[in-house]
Amino acid sequence: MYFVLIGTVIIIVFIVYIYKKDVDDEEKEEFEDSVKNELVQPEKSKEIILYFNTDLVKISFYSLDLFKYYGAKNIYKKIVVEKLYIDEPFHTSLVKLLQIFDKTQSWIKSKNTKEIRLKIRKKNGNFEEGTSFKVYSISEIIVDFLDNILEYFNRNLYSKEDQKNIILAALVWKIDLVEELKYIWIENLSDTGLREYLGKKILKHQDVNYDVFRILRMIENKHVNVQFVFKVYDNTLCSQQEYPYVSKGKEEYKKFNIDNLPNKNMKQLMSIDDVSVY
Amino acid sequence: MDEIIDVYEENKIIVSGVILNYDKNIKLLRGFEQNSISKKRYMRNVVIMIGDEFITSNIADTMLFKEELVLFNYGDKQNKYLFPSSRTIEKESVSSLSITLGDGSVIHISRSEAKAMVGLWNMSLQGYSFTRLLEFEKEQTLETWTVALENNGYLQLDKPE
Repeated sequence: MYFVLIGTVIIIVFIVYIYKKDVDDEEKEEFEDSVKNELVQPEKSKEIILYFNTDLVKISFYSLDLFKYYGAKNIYKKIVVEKLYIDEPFHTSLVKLLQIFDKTQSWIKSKNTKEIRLKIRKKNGNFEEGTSFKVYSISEIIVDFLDNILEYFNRNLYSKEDQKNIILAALVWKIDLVEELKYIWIENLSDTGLREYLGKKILKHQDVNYDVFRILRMIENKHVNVQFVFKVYDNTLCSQQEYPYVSKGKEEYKKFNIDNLPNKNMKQLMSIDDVSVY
Repeated sequence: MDEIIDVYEENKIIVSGVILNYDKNIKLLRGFEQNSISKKRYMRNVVIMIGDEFITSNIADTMLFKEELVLFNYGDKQNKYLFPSSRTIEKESVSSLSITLGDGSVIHISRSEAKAMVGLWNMSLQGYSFTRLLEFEKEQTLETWTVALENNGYLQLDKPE
């Protein structure tokens, strides 16, 4: 008797279990389907049509024949052609300054040079005196200086306007090294005054934008924000090539008197205001 | 006819210096040319340099400088470079040769120093023929000397020599 009872109970429990399991599975599947339907809602991707300005833009550069050496040509390519800094007051004034530094033959004395005083007797018995030492070429210094400044801009973020103004200010900062420009030197100007005078003569179209001269004044006063300029300049001096040079006494550049010139065309050529002719 | 022809051989000068006196920094600079085929050296110029200044510039002046050293006391006011003078060191009057340089400094040379310098002069020119020096002494200009000094490292600061 007991066995039969226990057996029926077990069978009933088993049947109930199986039934319940089936129901659970069905519910599960239904729930999963509903969730899937909710999640997966395939949408058609929208087509976006962008309209670019495809009009032809004409960009005019200066001819590279303006420059004598490949250094200045490369700098022009790097600044103007690659970076597309072709805003007009900047473009022409950069070319003017580059031309001046490209064609100059002035020098500064090297740091590791000895000065040897020579006194040599010629065959006719006269003496010739001079001192020999080693010099750096200024055009090479300026080209390397600009190259290193551009490299610095690549590593540090500066805005486009700041880059342009710093480049111009750095060039004007070193313009008093150019000996040939001293024929327009009026009376005794201080270093800062001379720079400002020459700078305003050359950057005459830049007058609207005084930022160049503001940065120039920051460089002259050794402001904290432009300390990198000095570091870059010192680094360029370390890796310059030295050339032997003899100086026979002091070389003076006489100021040219324009009024005495007979020809009108010559007067125009030598006129002070148009430095770009130089 | 394989032959190395150096176009710029004429202008290449090998400068070698002999220090005659360390304290006064007196040097004898000899300018050589080298034949690239026979590897022989010919002396073309002999010059005396004191400090950073050239005193003489050709063989005739250099011989004069040497003879003034040799004569020492017997020289007089006709001398060109070295003048006999007397000065007192510790209350004792001594005779010496004096020369004033371009920057105003005066250098005194004692008798023993003069003798040593002459000895070194003789030693430094042994073994070289003087015929080429006398016949074809190179007429130098300021520019050629500058290039020669630069090529041989005399314009470099702090050269260990």
